Amino acid sequence: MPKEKADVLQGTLDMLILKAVQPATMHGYGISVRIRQISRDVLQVEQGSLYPALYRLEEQGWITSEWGTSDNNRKAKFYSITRTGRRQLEAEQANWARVSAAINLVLDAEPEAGT
Amino acid sequence: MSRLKGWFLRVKRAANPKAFEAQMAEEMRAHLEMEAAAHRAAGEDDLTARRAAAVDFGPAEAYKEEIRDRRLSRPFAEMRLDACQALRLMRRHPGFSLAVIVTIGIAIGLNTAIFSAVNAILLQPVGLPNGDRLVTVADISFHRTMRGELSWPDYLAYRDRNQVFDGIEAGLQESVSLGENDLPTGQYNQMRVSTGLFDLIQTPPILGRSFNHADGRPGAEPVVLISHDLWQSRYGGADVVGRVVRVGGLPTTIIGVMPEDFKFPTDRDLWTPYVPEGVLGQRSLRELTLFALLKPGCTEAQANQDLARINRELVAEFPGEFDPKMIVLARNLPAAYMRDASNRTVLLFMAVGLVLAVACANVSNLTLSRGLARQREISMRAALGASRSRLVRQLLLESVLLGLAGGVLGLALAWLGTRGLELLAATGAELPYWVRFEIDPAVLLFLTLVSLLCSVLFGLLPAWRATRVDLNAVLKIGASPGATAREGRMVGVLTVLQFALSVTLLSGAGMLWRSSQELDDYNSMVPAARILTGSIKLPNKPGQTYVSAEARRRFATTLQTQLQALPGATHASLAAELPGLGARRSPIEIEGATAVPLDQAPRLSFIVQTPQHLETIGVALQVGRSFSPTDGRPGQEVAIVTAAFSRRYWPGESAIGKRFRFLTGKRAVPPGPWLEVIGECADFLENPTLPAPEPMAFVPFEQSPVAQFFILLRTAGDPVGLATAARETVQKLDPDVALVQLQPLPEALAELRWSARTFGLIFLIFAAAGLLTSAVGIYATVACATTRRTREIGIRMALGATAGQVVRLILSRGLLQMIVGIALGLWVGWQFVQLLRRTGLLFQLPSSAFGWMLALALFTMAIGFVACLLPARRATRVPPTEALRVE
Repeated sequence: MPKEKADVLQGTLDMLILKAVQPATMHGYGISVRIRQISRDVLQVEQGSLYPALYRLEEQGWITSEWGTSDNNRKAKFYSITRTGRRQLEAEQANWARVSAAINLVLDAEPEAGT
Repeated sequence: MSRLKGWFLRVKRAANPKAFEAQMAEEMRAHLEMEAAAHRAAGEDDLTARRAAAVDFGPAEAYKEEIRDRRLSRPFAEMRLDACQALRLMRRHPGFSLAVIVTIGIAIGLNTAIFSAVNAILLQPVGLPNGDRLVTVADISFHRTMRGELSWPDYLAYRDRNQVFDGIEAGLQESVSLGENDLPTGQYNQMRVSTGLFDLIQTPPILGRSFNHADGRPGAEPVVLISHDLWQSRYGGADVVGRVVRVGGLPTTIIGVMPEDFKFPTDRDLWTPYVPEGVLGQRSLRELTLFALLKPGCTEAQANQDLARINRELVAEFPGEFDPKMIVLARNLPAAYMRDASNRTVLLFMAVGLVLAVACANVSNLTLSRGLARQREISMRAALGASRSRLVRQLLLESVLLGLAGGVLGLALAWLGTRGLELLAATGAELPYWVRFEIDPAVLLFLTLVSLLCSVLFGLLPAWRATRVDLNAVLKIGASPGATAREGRMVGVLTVLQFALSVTLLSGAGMLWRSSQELDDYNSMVPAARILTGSIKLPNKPGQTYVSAEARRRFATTLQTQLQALPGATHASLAAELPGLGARRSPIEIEGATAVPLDQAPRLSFIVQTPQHLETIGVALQVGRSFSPTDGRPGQEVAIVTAAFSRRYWPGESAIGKRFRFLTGKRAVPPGPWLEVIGECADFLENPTLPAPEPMAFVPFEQSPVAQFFILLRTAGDPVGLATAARETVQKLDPDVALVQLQPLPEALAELRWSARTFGLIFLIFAAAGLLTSAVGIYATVACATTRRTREIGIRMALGATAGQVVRLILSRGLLQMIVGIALGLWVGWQFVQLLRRTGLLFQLPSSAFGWMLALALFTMAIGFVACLLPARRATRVPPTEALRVE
């Protein structure tokens, strides 16, 4: 049975991108590959939809971009995280952890009799 | 910080959209290639790899669009799109667009033109250095005008005792003759001024020198400053400084020329120093107006308190010489010189505001009607995903474009309008010379704001209505987009409003027009068209030829005899007033009546005249005799009274042989001699502001030889032919006396009627504009409604309704709206007419005023009826078979 593919939750795409570019400078294609890799192909982002998000993040000042050359010698735009981007990522991660923990608590709770 | 960088980035991107577009494309292409390369590496062939990459990537164009949506320039790009669309629509509906542009253009043009007057008269500062601190000081207690009423010693007292002025100067305005040997003598407006006046207003002459203190000392060489205008028109700009001319008969040296357009304070051409010699230095000669500069920070109220203090001192120090009731007030120049003008301007501004309201209501109505017709288009856009705000924005932009186009047309009209106003002001209104009607930045700003405001006003409501659509209802195939009841009400209310406003304007115009016409019908016994009139002012100041009464009598007798002898003249007379142009009034006492205090004594209009005057103006003597040449000599003091006079004071008796006398306005001066009534003449309306002829008396010139009077020459033919001969007669008699304002009597009368007629005309233009737009409006709305109901009408007619029934059906609603609007307009119009009366523009209501208003209402109704009938009739002509196929 193939792995279930999940749509990326609204609003979490920003966090995923920030996480992806956190360790190293990366171009758009690289980011999409990396998101698939780390999520072991569970999180399927339609590749094009990365770009509006990238432009938005850049305009918010969380990432910056620079033209450079890729591994196979092709001109590409490379994104890297900024200091405010890092802070934003930490904040979003903490928030995510809190919310998902809370949701897990709710889902794991034993149904009580009578309710 | 990085947020700022982000904004910087957005601006950079917006600034260079091409580079941005290229970057975006390049970046996505790189992505696709890398993905394709990955697929190839997995062993797929090139084509499959590419296709797979494209599928994985998704709709690239949609993503690009999503990115573009965030661009700063996005709203502008949308606007450009909307503008193109709007222009296309304008071209496709030229009739509608033209109607809107013309309606708005006329309204904006009128408003802007009138605003230029508001700007010049009410908003612009006085065009003199320190103009905001400059005030006039005058006694307003008696005549309630701002002219004169102070004497030279008064002036000195105010000058020396005040604590509020930085400077105070005096001026006396009069009309004076200007003569020299090689040019015909002319009559000009002069002001005798204290010698510091031009320093006070900081205006030196452009040629020659200004007055110095020595010029104002008794016995000084007479000097005169002339206006630039006079310099050009009379002397052709020649070198006149040092030339000796005769001012009021007195040899005087021209010492300078004042700057271009300088006419201080109103319409002056000559300025001479005020020399306080003889009578001119006495307290009894009260003819001066003072001009003063308030100390910085000092208000008019403070100045008036200080003046009141000085008055109290003067009353205490010179008992009997000062009236304790004297009110000496300081007033800024606009208040002193432009009170009438500003009242009228405000009134005009209100009236054009009404025109603008009609125009906006009308265009709103048109747009609303068209909005209903456009419902399908709008629904289609909404269905394709346009948000309501986007739709409203698009419709508003259409309105704004139309409004601005109207504004451009308005600008052209406004320019014409200001030229017209300048002409009007030059002929009728005595405006200070610094007031100019111009399209300056303030007026342009006003024009732009009004255009935009109009567009939003007439666009917002229809746009809001039009975009509230029920997609399901409208898009249903074959469903006819009909007006809902609520929209119909909206259109109805606007139509009612338009008609109400039009009738209001029309009432004002009609009343002014009618009352100015009725003025023409007064005194129909006067053969005005055959009378030539002219004005003479004898120089009668101390030192001048006609200071003695005997000299004036001699001049008048000789002049009358010579004028009578002119070939073509049938009658000639001299009189202090022209018939129908108002007369001087004085308190009187009837012999035998109980004595009353002076300020309660009856006041009587009287006209000083030479024998023959009543015959000249065609007023019939009913009882008694007319003046003989010896009447008026000491011991033979007489008067002729009108029938109204004798009815009021000797009811049921003959006036002949009765006596009355004039009391002077001042307590200290004894009353005049008893005058015996020798004749009674027909009634005669001298004062057109009164509803009926008032009691009047005629007094022989011999008795009161005034220095300023009119000549009246009656001929059998065209009176203008006598002008040259009359002027030569006066010149030959005395080269220093000028006969001016030579014109037939109707023209002299027209000057009085100027304001009623001019404002009547202006209001008529406004009303015509309003009525025209209303008619177009109701036509368009009825036409639009009828087009929408074509199918319904077809069904009705197919089922047997007659054309008449259909027309009635369509007319009934339009007519009802019209009647409500007109009734409302009649009420508001009546208030408006009252306002016109209060501001003095309308002397009095024409007879049967209400009948006239009803007639105007019926006229409006007829126009509206035709506007409704045309589209209704057209609807019935559509064959039912065709009507049913519509849609």
